Amino acid sequence: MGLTRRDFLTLSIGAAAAVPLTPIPWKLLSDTSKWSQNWSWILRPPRGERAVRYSSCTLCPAGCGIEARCVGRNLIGIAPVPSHPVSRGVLCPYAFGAHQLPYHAARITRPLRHGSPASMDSVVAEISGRVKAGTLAILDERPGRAVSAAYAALAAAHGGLYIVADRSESTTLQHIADGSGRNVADLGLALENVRTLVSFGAPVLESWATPGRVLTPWKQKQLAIVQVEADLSKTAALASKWLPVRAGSEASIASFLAGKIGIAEAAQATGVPSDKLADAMRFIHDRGPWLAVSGGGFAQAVEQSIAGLNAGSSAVVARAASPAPGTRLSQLPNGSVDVLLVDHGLLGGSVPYDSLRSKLRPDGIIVSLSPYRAGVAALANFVIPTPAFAESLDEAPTPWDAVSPSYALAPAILDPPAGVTTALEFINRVTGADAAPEALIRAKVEGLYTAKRGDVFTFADRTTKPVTEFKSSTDLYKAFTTGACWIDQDAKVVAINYHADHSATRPFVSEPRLLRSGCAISPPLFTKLTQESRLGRA
Amino acid sequence: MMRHRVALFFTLGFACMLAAGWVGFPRMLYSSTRQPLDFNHRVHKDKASEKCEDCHSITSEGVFTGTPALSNCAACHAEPMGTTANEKMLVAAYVKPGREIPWRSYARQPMNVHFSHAVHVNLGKLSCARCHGERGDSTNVSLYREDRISGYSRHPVSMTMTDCEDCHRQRGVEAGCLGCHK
Repeated sequence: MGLTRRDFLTLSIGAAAAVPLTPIPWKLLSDTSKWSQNWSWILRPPRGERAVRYSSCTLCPAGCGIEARCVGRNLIGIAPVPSHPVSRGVLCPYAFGAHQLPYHAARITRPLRHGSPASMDSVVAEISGRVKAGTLAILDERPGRAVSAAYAALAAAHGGLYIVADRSESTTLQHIADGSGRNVADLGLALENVRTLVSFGAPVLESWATPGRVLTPWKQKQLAIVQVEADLSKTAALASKWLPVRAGSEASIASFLAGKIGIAEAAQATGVPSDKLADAMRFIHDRGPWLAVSGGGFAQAVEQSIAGLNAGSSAVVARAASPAPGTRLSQLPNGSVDVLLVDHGLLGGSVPYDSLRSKLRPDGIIVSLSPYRAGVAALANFVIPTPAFAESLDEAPTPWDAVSPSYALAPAILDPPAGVTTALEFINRVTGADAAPEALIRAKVEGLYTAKRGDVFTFADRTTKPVTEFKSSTDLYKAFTTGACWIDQDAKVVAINYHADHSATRPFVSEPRLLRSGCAISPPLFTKLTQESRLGRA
Repeated sequence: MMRHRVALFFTLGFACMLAAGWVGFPRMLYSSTRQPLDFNHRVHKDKASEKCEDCHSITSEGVFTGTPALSNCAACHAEPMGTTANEKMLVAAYVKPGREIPWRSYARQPMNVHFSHAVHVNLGKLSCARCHGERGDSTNVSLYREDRISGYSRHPVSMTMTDCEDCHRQRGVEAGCLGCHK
């Protein structure tokens, strides 16, 4: 019996039929997928000793406590610090992805001159010459730090201006400050006195104010959210009530809540059914004290209407005086600056390029101090690479919404790449000054120690002890650099007697937002989540 | 006759492929390597009264220390504690020169998997044996069998995503995709 071609074919068909019943195809599929995760060019944390270091998140002014998980000198994860007096064991999505930021695709490690790499010395020489010949302004996107005071002093020494950015998330507080003749840095929000937050497009459940002050009571059902927004944002989806108003008709809701227009008129103007409006109105008033906040970006009259809803509210308070805040960007006359140095902070900044360009004289220049070539830095005349998250000693001063003054430090956990310089060191070089960041911070800590006020919460053992129990300012500084937060909960706080005054108007820049939180860049994982969850719609 | 012949060759091909897939393929896929030293878990458990967590500890911050460092071994084995070749090699080749033992890990998970020992042991109250089998009673170490394609070990006890899912389902614990694949 000889073997025929038909026999081979039959044998092969039998073998092929058995293949799915063996591990071969399934194991090969599984193994190749794992193999594809281990290609040499994919970033992987090296193996090494695991450790936890405590610090504070300095991506935004909230200054939440963080537990930085490290393998050797590499940061591999971020977790919140339970019981933290400011962040209350809560972090926003940005902070959870912060360890990815030093590896962001837009990271720069060389100075750029009109988009092309340049040597640091040549850039310093050119900008120094311009500073000597023209008007200098330093824009600080993270005011309130010890280095902020140095910026103000350096700008003043050169006949220039120290500028702070208008924050879209604190627009309502800014309008209340304007209306009551106060400084916005001296105001805070006593969210603990509020049962309902009426949000006009503010991402209050995503990344707004100090996340722990909103998310914790919201999760415990002590705080309800009524979201007035055209789109079904993440906050709108999670809110107790969502009023899907027609875009641009938010002022009608504010007028309705203020009792200036009737329900029929409000329903017609906003497109929200009158029964839904009545239900929301009943919900807000039945729950007790409420606070109206804006997400920014509305016309000035709308912003004032929203701020006006808080007249007489016990939630807006005057807190202990903060350092002089400088000139607001919106108050700076157009065409008045020759050299604008911008400290963007760790997320590449949120101020739109056009609002900066308009402040310059025709041949003026913008110098972006940023870890990333994104946002303003993508268009600036010069870009100076600065340390990214956790790459330099940083400060977390009192958050804009806080009632009690607080202060924390974020020690350097990672080694910064060669070629980067801190914003203050660069400004020192171009102005010929010698202000040392660490010396300024030590002086600030010395001041806290000398004042003998407040308590210090230590992250590692989660204990609190008064400042008076520290033996020296050096001990206090050491506690800060290993994870601690100072807070003065006994500081005097008074409810302000605010009455909406629409005559006290001041031009306010309506800033378009890149993301809902307005930053130039996001952690890569967060970007993916944002895209998938529709968090990122402007 | 023709029909029988077709059935014969079809069955032959079917059987050969099953044998190749279940016997030959795994042998080809995995390379076998011995660990640098043999290790007797039972002796450490019985004679030294040690528990798993004495060497494979979870720190107060919730970090699992994994395979113990040489310093753990050197605390007792600064000098040979017996006459076996393994004991002599441990002291001469690793403890005295202060060289870490290059253990190969059986249980390393792929890069896209995040697993917290602290959550499963401290909160979930799972015993080590639930995932690792009765390794604490073993008298020697198994051969390290490395998958030639993926580079990961073949674990002596099944430790697949299906096992994780089954256990979570039995205990009614929801983790979702991002619970493990961060």
